[in-house]
Amino acid sequence: MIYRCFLVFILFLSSCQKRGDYDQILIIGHGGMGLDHLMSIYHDNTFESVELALEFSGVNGVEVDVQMDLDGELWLCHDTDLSLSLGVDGSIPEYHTEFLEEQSYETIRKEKLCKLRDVIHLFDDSDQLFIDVKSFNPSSGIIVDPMLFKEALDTILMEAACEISVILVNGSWVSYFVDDYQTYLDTDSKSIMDSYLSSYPQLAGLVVRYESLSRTEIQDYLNQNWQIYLYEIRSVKRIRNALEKRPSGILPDDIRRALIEAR
Amino acid sequence: MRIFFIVFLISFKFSIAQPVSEVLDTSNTSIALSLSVERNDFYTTFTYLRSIESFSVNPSLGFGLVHSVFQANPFVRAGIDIYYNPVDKTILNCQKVLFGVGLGYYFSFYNRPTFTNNHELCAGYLFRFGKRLKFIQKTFIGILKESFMGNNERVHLVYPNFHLSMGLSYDL
Repeated sequence: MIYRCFLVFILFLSSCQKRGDYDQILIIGHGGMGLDHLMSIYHDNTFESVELALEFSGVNGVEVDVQMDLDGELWLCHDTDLSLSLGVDGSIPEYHTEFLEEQSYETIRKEKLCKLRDVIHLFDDSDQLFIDVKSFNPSSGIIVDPMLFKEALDTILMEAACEISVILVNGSWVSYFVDDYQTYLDTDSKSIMDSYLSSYPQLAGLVVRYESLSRTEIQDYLNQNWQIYLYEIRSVKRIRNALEKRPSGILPDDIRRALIEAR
Repeated sequence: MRIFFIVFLISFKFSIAQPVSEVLDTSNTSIALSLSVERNDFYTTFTYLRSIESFSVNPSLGFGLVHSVFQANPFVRAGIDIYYNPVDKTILNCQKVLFGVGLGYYFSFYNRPTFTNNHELCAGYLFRFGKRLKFIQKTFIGILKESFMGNNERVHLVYPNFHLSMGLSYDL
């Protein structure tokens, strides 16, 4: 009997999995509380979503998608086609500020479309703000002028207390931002990553999809002093796998689940 | 669709049951065990059901997992439901059909990622069918108020919630 109890106790102990030490991995809210998350309380890239994400202890910052309108105002918005979430035809670069100020998401709470300048004061000096620059609008075919975009960004971020990073999908924009901001490239292609990192050693690193890099590749980049952030992390399984890759940070779409796993 | 439902309820109330030979179950006290899913969580609940004429009062105690089964993040919940039972009929083979509409209040709390408590007010129905051992099904919708201590201030979130429960009850 004693032997059986001892055996059960040993089996119980061996079944307990040691929690990994992920304190060094930053948790950055993707679009606030998460992008395309069914149970999310607020729509992504809204004032409410960013504010709530920053209230969670253990969250290191927030990533927002930023687009510029016809008047040079910067707006938080992920969608390039506004009819999907706001019920308005067209895209942000096609409209004037006055019109966009009246727009709200088609959700229960009707969150208003939010300007970048309105969320800046939510970040304090310990927070990180990642700005995903939307430079090209595929639905309208509009290409935004990088100089105008950077000028608008400089003006708004002049009084920001937090650490600012810029994420660029468009590699041709890197030269405009890389000297003034912590700049990250977002691409799935390993050859493009290597090409840009060798051409622009000032780049801070990469923000890539969860599946784009293996743990070994991530460690190689980290050893060369580049930062690696992973996104498109929705399920618990993905959160665990992403943390196991030991990147600099993750951009989860469910902050609460990520905090349970990582903190 | 709503018309059919109302007609069903009314017809059930005025329908006449067949005479039965077996002794009818007249117990007004039951216990129940049910499995449920709600917006964020999965949980199991132990409920005490007490009927007083057409009404029933059901205090419950539950235990569940927050957000994800895979994370095994537990929470405790307690609540009370009050029903008005417009349908309480005995049909073939002494099987009872009970249908109640009512209100419920629940309180729950959990500790990770941060200490959070929930207060919830719901409305819905409870359906029971069977002899002494009955199948139960409950559907509730309502408003949930979630609160936790944020980095800067206490955060209060109010949002809609739902509960779908299935289980078994046993008449004492």
